[in-house]
Parts: sequence; structure tokens; C-alpha cells
Amino acid sequence: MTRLVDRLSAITAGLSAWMFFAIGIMVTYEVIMRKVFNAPTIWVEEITRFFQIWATYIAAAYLLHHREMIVVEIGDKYLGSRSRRVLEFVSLLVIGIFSAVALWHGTGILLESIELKRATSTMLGVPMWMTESAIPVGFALLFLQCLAEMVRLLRGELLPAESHHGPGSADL
Amino acid sequence: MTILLIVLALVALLALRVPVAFALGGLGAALLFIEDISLVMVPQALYSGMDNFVLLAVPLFLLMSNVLLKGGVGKDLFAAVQSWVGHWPGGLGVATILSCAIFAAISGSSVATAATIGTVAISEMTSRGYDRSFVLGLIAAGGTLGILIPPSIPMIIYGVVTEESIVDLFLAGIGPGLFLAGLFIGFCFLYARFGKGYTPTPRAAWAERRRATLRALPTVVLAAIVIGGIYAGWFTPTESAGIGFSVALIIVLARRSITWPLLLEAVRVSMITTVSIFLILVGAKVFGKAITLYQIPQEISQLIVGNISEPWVFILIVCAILLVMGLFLEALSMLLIMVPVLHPSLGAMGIDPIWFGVLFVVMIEAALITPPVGLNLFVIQAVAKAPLMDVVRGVWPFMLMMLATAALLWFWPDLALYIPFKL
Repeated sequence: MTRLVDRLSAITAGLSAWMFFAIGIMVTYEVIMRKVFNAPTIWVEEITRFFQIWATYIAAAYLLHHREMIVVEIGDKYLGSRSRRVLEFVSLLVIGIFSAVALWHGTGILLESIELKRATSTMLGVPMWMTESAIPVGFALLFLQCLAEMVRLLRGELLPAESHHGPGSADL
Repeated sequence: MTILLIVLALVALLALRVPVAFALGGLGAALLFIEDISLVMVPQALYSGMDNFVLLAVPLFLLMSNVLLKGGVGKDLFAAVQSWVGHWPGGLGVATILSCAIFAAISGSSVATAATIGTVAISEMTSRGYDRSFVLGLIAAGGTLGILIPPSIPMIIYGVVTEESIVDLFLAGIGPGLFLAGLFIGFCFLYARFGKGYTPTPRAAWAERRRATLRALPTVVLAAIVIGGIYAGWFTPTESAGIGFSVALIIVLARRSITWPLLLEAVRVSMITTVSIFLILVGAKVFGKAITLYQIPQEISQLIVGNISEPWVFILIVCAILLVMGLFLEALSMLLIMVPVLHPSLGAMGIDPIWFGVLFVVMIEAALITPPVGLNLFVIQAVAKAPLMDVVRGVWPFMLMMLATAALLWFWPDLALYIPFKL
């Protein structure tokens, strides 16, 4: 079961990575159309933002699984494995509760938008549910991943690599 | 009192190793809950935080630099610069700083800059007898140019949070960035004159120079397009990043220096960095909404204005706080925790927010290489696989140069503000 969740997170993260890639291509297309052909598009500005919302939230679970979220690294060298596990559990609890809140209220907003047929006030008039659903979907995934990580902790499985800090991780 | 409790709660969450994004977001949500404010604000903040065209510059600049990195551009750049200045006194050091400065113009991150140039420069320099600590300090310092010379991801985030012009911020970073690069190069000359000695590099032949330069040229041209395009007003930062990414892709494909697995890795790493930054950003947004409802920024602003009459005292205190925070937080978390709280005070203090942004970035970087526990020290340590003490011993002269630059910015604001506003 936990494996299934990991698999799902990996798939959505892959999707997210290529959505960012696609954003780059779309922005380039827009610049070329406008500067070279003097024919600006009406969709790039909006669609790229929508991609950004989706890409960000569907990748959160993957980051949690691989412990790629930025944490304060202070004194963790001095922690025993038992206290480390306790801290890990507390952190998962915070993330889990936050995800549940985002999922619950995000769904509320989504249902309301569907009912009222809300759409963006641009030329495209994209229905709001298409992008607002990114929040409940993303945080549902994150919530599931949280549960999977908790199960793993309780089962006593090994924690992922303790320190993933190094070039290529999230430091700027 | 409330302020103190909130700060304590935040510190406690961070110390418990809750990811920064969720420490901020969770605390924000809890504060809303306590005041009986509807938590619908949470998903709203999550949505509006990402619904932002300007922020697209973050993933695009990351994609651009990662694609170039995996395409082996760092090595070519260093080789080209070295062929020109390698025979100077302290030449490899000079080449390292110059490569960092050029790479900074295609990368918005100091760690990527230090890691890229570091992997080539460290072995090259130590094998020629340069003192190891000096080399490590040099790379750590050179890396900081990455976020001062545009594009700069912390400056994009600063601009988004304060609603200041990112273009102005970028341009304001150029002066101090070049100034620091000059200082570092001067220090390399001093090292060559008074240091422990090294084997000079022979002057490169013209054929060698031409070959190396031609190989690095596309990257340099790309850097010029990215910054020049923003400066000339051809593109917005987001558009510039998009073009930069596409051109980077064309460069590495044309040179056949990237393989499919390397490209996959570049795309994956960019996604991870982007999402981890964005999650902190939206976490900070939820937190920001909550403390605004508690009127915390206003209170702090009043507290500051009521007690501190001189702007320089304010700046000094901010700098001291940043130095302490740099002991355990990375750049972006510092920025996202401090800036929303401090921004309202700037107007009252008569401080230019663009100038403050540049000073903030210089100070963040100084904090991150300040011994004993600056975060960038650990990164360099990991890149070089060297004992931490070696890095620490080498880095302090550079740290002093950065602090001096921060001080100079106070006495001579035009170092930052000349290019965006007076040129």
C-alpha cells in the first residue's frame, strides 16, 4: 500500500517536472510570436500560471517522500535514532493536519465554483474548477504520503538518508 | 507579548525539524484557527500565491542553469577564462572569480555557482599548490556572486513579496556584485604576492585561447542576452528566463554535450528546487496573512519607529539578526520570515526598498558563510569533501570583505542604485 502511494507521487512529480519544462517552451513561443510576428497569444500568460499551480502542488508528496523539503539542520547530528523518529513523527503530524485543512477547505471552494460555474474573467474564460482542483488533489496526495511515511515509521523501517544536503538540493 | 509567543512557537517548530514551509503554514493556520477566522483562507492563499506570472521566472531560470550545468558548461567556462588570465599572479584564483561572475549571470543561485565552478577549480588549484583553505574560501565567496549578479532567485522572491520591481532589483545587484568580484580578485593578487606560494600556470597559446573561447562563447552570449534583454526592456524577467531556457537547450543539444539521462536529471532537479522554494513561499503567505490579522507587522513597525530614531541603528540591528539567523536558516527562509515583517517599517524609516533588497541579499550571503555554522560552508564542504575547519579558515577574509561591502552600501547607496535609477 505504501509502495503504491510512493509510485503515485513519483508519477505526479514526473508530470510536474515536465509541466515546468512546458512552461518554458510556452513562454518562449509567446515572446517569439509577439516580438517577431507581432501576434501575441491570448492563452500563454494564463495557461502557464495554471500549469504552475498544478505543477507545484502535485509534486509536494514526492518531495516529502524523498525528504527534499527544506528543514532547519541544527544539532541533528546529536540526536539518537529514537528521538529522531519521534521528531519525524511530529513533523509528519503537522504536515498531515495542514494537508487535511487544505484538502477540506480546498474542496469546499472547488464545489462552490462548480455550482456557481465560476470562470476567470479573461478572454479565455477558463472554468475555475480546472485550476482550483489542484489544491485538493495536491494535498490529498500529500496527505496520503504523510500516512504512508507514518506507517513506515511505526513499522520501524529505515529512515531515508539522514542528510541530503549538498549541491543540487534546494539551497540557493 | 503575542509577538514573543509567535516567535517562540515558530522557533520551536523549526527546531523540531518541521519543514520550513509547514512550520510557517501550520503556525499561520493555527493562528487563524485560534482567532476563529475561517480556514478557507488557507487554500485561498495557497492558490493566489502560485497564481503569479512573475514567479514563473524561478523554475525557468533554474531550468536554464541546470540544463547548462548538465551540459558541462562550467568546465568550458573555467577553461576559457583560465586561458586568458591563468598566467597572471594568482591567475587561477582570478579565473575562478571571473568564472563565478559569468556563471552568476546565468544562474540565480549561489550554491549552483559554487558547486559548478568548484568542481573544476578546486582540484586545478590545489594541484598547483594553492593553499587548500584559500581555495575553499574563494569558491564559497565566489558562489555568493550567484545571487547578487542577476538573475537572482532571492531577488525575484523579494520582489514578489514586497511588490517592488524585480528589474530594478536585478539592476541594483550588478554594481555591488561587480564590486565584490573586484575585491575578491584583488585579494587573489595579494595572495599571490604574500601567500604560501603556488606553481604559476604557463601562458596559454593563442590557438588554445581561441579554441577555449569559442567553446564558451555561446554561454557568454546567452548571459548577455538574458541580462541585456532585461536591462534594455525587451523582455520581462519571466520572458527572459523562458528565452534563456530555450536557448540553453539549443546550445547543449547543438554541442551534443547532453544525454537523455542528464536532461532528465536537469528537469528533475529544477522541479525539486522550484517546488521546495514555492512551498516555503506559500507557507509564508499563510503565515503572513495570519500575522497581518494579528496586526503584528504594524506593531513591530510602530515598535521600531517609536524606539529607533536613526535608520542606521535599524539597519545595524537587522544585519545583526540576519547574521544570527544565518547560523541555521538558508537564504530563502530568512528572506521570507524577515522581509514581510520589516517591509512596512522601511517607508517610515525613509529607506529605499530596492537598496534594502540588495543590502539584504549581501547580508544573507555573508551570514551563510559566517563561521562557525553558516549553511554555505557545509555545501562547500560537501563539494570539496574537505574538513569543515579548512573551509572556515579560508572563508573569513571573504566574509569581512562582504561585511565591508554591506557597510559601504550604507555610505554610498549609489553603488547599488546608480545602474537602475541614474544611468
